[in-house]
Amino acid sequence: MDCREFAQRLWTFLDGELDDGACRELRAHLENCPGCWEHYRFEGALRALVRRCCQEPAPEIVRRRVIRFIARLTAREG
Amino acid sequence: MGKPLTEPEQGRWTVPQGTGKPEDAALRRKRFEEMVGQHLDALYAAALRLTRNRQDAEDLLQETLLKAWRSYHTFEEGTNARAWLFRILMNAHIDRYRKATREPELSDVEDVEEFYLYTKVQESDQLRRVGDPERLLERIMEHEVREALENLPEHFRSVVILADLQGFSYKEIADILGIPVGTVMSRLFRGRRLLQKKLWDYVRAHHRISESPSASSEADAAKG
Repeated sequence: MDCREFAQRLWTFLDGELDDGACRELRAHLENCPGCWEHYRFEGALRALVRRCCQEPAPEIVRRRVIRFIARLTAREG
Repeated sequence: MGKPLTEPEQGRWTVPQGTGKPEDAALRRKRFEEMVGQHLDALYAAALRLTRNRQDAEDLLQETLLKAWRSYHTFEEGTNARAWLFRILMNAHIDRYRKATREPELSDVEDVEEFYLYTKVQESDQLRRVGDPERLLERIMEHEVREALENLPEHFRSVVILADLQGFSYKEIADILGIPVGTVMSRLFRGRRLLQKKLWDYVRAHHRISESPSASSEADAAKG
């Protein structure tokens, strides 16, 4: 696998959607290519950043509203 | 079939499957509540990023729960509850959203190069002096990331939310949205490229980097 092929598959790899054989090739390339390693780390860190910033647990007040709503809903239509 | 009911374990409810007998209504309600409770945070976060404000997110969540309860009899126990709930959420969102707004045609949305952010960072002498490119990400603020995501056109935003926030597979997203896997991938990749371009604007602002003159050449490209 060369750097170009690596780049083509990087996102699919990070998505966990590459088959085992392609994953092995990609990992082998990563071990030997500092440039692609740096790129891999960057894309992974970016993914983690987006995930971390955009998650937000339901506030307690919403959770309570949901519980009351479900209680009414299921009591009426259950 | 004829097996005796086992005692439910602490916090877990098991019922015999497929007996055709009417289920105990209280047990059914309990299981529904438990399922929603388990996925509430994920549903809420997705609703918030989809609708971009708290009131609409709560309305969407409420509608999702209503529809989920009404079709709960179609849900097969033991199948993917999270994907089932998200399918209802996305359908409810699309119904509401498409009524309320007009989005630009997908073909009118600009496309950007692959790995936009990393490439731009590499191209900047000033940023390369900072050292490890990963460290540049530390300067991006939480609200900026949210804003960048929320500014994506709806078709791209939905797919990025399902993949990058919720961790659904391509196939699961295809099922949730009722579109082919190839479409999921093209929207996801294009959405990520747009997101990276927006994030580059923030990185540039934090590091006071001016736009390089060559970057505007794309805009000058003549239409065939």
